[in-house]
Formats: sequence, C-alpha cells, structure tokens
Amino acid sequence: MQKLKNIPEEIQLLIVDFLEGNINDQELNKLNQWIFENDQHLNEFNALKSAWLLSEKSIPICVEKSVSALSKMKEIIDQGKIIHIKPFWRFSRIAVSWLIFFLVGISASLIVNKPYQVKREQHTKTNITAPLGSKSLVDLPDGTKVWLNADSRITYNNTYGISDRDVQLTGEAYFIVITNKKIPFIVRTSDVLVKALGTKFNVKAYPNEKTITTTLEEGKIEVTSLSEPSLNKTIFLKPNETATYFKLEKTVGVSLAQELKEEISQRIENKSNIEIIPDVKTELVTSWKDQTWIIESQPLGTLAPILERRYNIEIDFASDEIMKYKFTGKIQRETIEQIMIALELSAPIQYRIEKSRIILSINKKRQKQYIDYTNN
Amino acid sequence: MSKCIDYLWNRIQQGDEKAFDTLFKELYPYLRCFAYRLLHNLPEAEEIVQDSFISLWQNKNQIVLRGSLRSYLYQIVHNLSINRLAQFKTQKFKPNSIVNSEQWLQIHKSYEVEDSFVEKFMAKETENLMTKIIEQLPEKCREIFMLSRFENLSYIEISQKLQLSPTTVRVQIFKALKFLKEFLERINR
Repeated sequence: MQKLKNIPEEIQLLIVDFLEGNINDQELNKLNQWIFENDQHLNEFNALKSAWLLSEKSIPICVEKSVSALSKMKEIIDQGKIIHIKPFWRFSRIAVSWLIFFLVGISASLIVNKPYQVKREQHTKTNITAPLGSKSLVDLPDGTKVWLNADSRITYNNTYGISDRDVQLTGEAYFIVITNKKIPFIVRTSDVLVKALGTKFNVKAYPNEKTITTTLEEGKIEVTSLSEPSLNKTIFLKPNETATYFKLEKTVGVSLAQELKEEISQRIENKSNIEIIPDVKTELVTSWKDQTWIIESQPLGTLAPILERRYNIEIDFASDEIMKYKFTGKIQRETIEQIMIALELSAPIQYRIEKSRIILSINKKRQKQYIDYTNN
Repeated sequence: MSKCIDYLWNRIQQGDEKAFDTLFKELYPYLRCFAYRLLHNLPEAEEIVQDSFISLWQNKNQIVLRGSLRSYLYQIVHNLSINRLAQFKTQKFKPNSIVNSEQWLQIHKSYEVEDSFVEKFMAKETENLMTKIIEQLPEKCREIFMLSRFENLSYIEISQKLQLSPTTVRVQIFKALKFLKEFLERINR
C-alpha cells in the first residue's frame, strides 16, 4: 500500500482532540470527512488510535481477579439477564454499494442496546421481550418483579403505576406483585384477564398453545375470561390452585388435540371454559424461572414445546407414541444434548440432531426390552 | 495460544461450559484492563467485559467469526465501552464535549481491533516497550506525552502546567503518537 505522506496539521490537531474526547461538532465533521475520504486515511487513523490505546497507563493485569468475576458472571447468566448486542453495518471503506456490506459486514462490529430489550413505542408503551432460548427478570416501575420465560413479551403504558397497573402478556411470566390496594395489578392475555392486589402467581399464555393457565402461589387473584361474552365469568383462585382456560378456536391440528376438542365442546355445553385444579405443586409450574427446573411425570408431548423455547431449537417426533412417555427430573444448567442423553437412558427413544432440529424416534430394540420389563 | 483459543471456540459453540470458563479466565484480565483504558472507570469496565462474555455465550450459535475469537472479544469490549461513554458523557470528558454525537460514535466504531493489536496488548512486555519507545522521544515531546498518557492530563491542562500554547502541546502529542505508531508498525513486521 502506498504510504501516506503527510497529515495536514489541522487534521493532526483534530485527531488529538478526538482521542481526548474534546472536540466540537463542526470539528468532528471535518475530521469525519477526512477519515472516510479513503482507505488510507481510515487505516492511518486506526493505527494512531491503537498507539493511543497502547500507550496509556492502565491498571495492572491481575489474573486472580478472573475467578471471582467468573462466578459473578455465572450468577447473572442464571438469573437470565439478556445482553443484546446487535450488529451494525460497517462503514464502507470505499464507496461501494451498501448491498455488499449488507452481506459481508454483519459479523465484525457490534453495538449494544440496554440490558433488556426495551423498546418505547410512541412514548406511551414499553415492550420487554425475552427471545427464544433465554429468560429475563424485569423490575416494573412500582417494584413488581416479572420473570419472563423464553419467547415471551410484556407491554405496559407509561401510565403504569400512576393511574393503572395493567400489563399485556404474550407467553409465560411469573409475577411477584407489590401490594397496592388502590391500583389493582392486571395481566391481560389474549383470552383471560388476571387481577391481583399483591401476590405471587404464574401465567402461561403462549399464542400457539390451546390453553391459558394461571397458577397462584400466594395471595388471591381473580381470573376472568374475555373471549365469549356468553361464557364471561370470573373465578377467584386460592393459593396452590391452577385455573386452566380452554381457548375456543378451531385451530387445533396436532394429534393430542382430539381429546381436547371433545373436552372443549363439553365445556361449551356446560357454559364454562375455565377449570380449576386444586392442590397444585406450584414449584412444578414456577420452577422454570429458577436455577433448578423441576419436572414431574410430564409427557414428552407437553415437555417438547417448553424445551423448544428454552433452548431455541425444534423438536420433531418420528411417531406420536413418543409423546406419551412421561418424564420426571430436575434440570439445572444442562445442555439440550445432555437432556437428550438423559431421555435416551430413561425411555426407549433415540435422538438425532440436524442443525437446530432434534428428531426423536423409537428405538425398536430397546422398546421391546422396555415392554418386556414393564410386563414382568 | 491462538490455536488453543480456536479450539475452545469450537467447544463453546457445542455448549461446553468448561471451555467457556477457560476462555473467560484466560482473557478476562486483559479485557478488563483494555476496557479500563477506554473508560477510566473500573466497575464500568468490569461490567462491560462481563456483558461481552455473557453475550458471547448467549449468542454462541449465531456468531460468525471473521478473524480470531480474541480480536472479536476485544472489538465487542471496545464498542460497548464507546457506547457506554456516549451514554454517560460525564466521566473523563469535559462538559463541552460532544461525545454524544452520532459522528463521534461513528468514527470510534469504524475502528477495527486487529489481531496484531491484540497480541501487542496482551504481551506483558508492551508496557516496558512503550516506556522504551517513549524514552527515545525528544525531551519536550516526551514530557508532554507522558503527562498526557500516564497522568491523563488534557492538552489544556498540560499547556497551563508547562506554559505552552495549546496548539504546541497538541502538535507534540501528535508527533509522539506518530512516532509510536511507526515504531509499532515496524516491530509488527
């Protein structure tokens, strides 16, 4: 590369100003123009910046620090803090079309957003999202704590905590609501409204699932169905009870659905689409948010969608009978592969990973042994 | 060392936490020091390095490396630090500074952390080397540069202290910087 001969003195001064962080808009404009004029200028500037960074006196490099920092970071990962680093387009060194950079430039440079993915919409709504494969703990303006499960979102207005405490939920969340007798805390889902004064409860309302379940751990809540006015009904939940709402859509297509369909039609006749289950072991419902996720005799058919969200993968069943195998266990920091190995050990199934898809199939030989064993 | 880290990256992408721990222990002290140089604030620096590792772990399957994993992490720490500076424009910066400007960020973000930089940064002898290079500078130039880089004085503070015009101080700082840069380029080859 041709050597850059001389940098104009004016630019020299501006570079020093810039590195010191003491430069005004106009000057910055000038510097910017020079830097992005060509490749050489940009390289020269980068090299000078490197020299600046390398020459600075800094703190000593302290190897012992890393052990305590590691355990601190682990805790934060377990709490489900999400760091979003979004790629940004690298600047075209030569004035080539943006398109090429669209394809090439994504990988290297990054910017960050706030710790959670918080977006403000028209100054009135706040959206908080936990994407697939992650969890998130959020403090609402009034101190109410919300654990968001994977692939879930809550939205609230800027009036939250002032004139209302309404949140809109898609997906699953666990709430510890700060008591405020004047303003009730309301969770709105597609079909169900949950009202609380100060309690601990879990709401699960994924759009692609056929039910919406609300489980109360402490306190008292009201569950109201919104969809069918004729069925509009409010139910009070006591601790350790779960209210299951059956959505009345015809969108059921997957196998297990037949039973549900019958159940739903029955419920429509009974004019009740909410069922209450007493004496629920709430830790089975709410432990997803903790370090140890507890599973107790859950069929694989219902476990699979939870694993899919938790690990951002896809699980396919080679045959429907696999869905009926039930599992009990505790999951901590296991990887999806470790879980699959555990499943293989406890049932006659085998798994295969293709990219982010896991295919589960029956292991015929072991199934025979399994049947023989259970028959004896 | 570099090979070893590439191997770790392979393991990390497969979800191996031990490999992640090893990587963390290996690089954390250096990244912490690097972030500190940019931010002049230790808690902030530590948090940024931590966040960089968390994001690496959480996005391990989406990340496509263009260069080495080490320079990738340095790049993230660099960009996060610059963003943080823009967010908290107080810190080291003077009240009239425009660190919040888009352009300021743009110039910083165009900075690429190269492998050769990382190697120099991680080399324990860099500090000694720097001192040696700086010793070779003409006296006035050296004095100014040491006040700037080792005592973190701004050129205005230096000009007051040494009773020189601000322009002279800046010219000298640039001269030293250029000398340093050329020296670093030479040992790079």
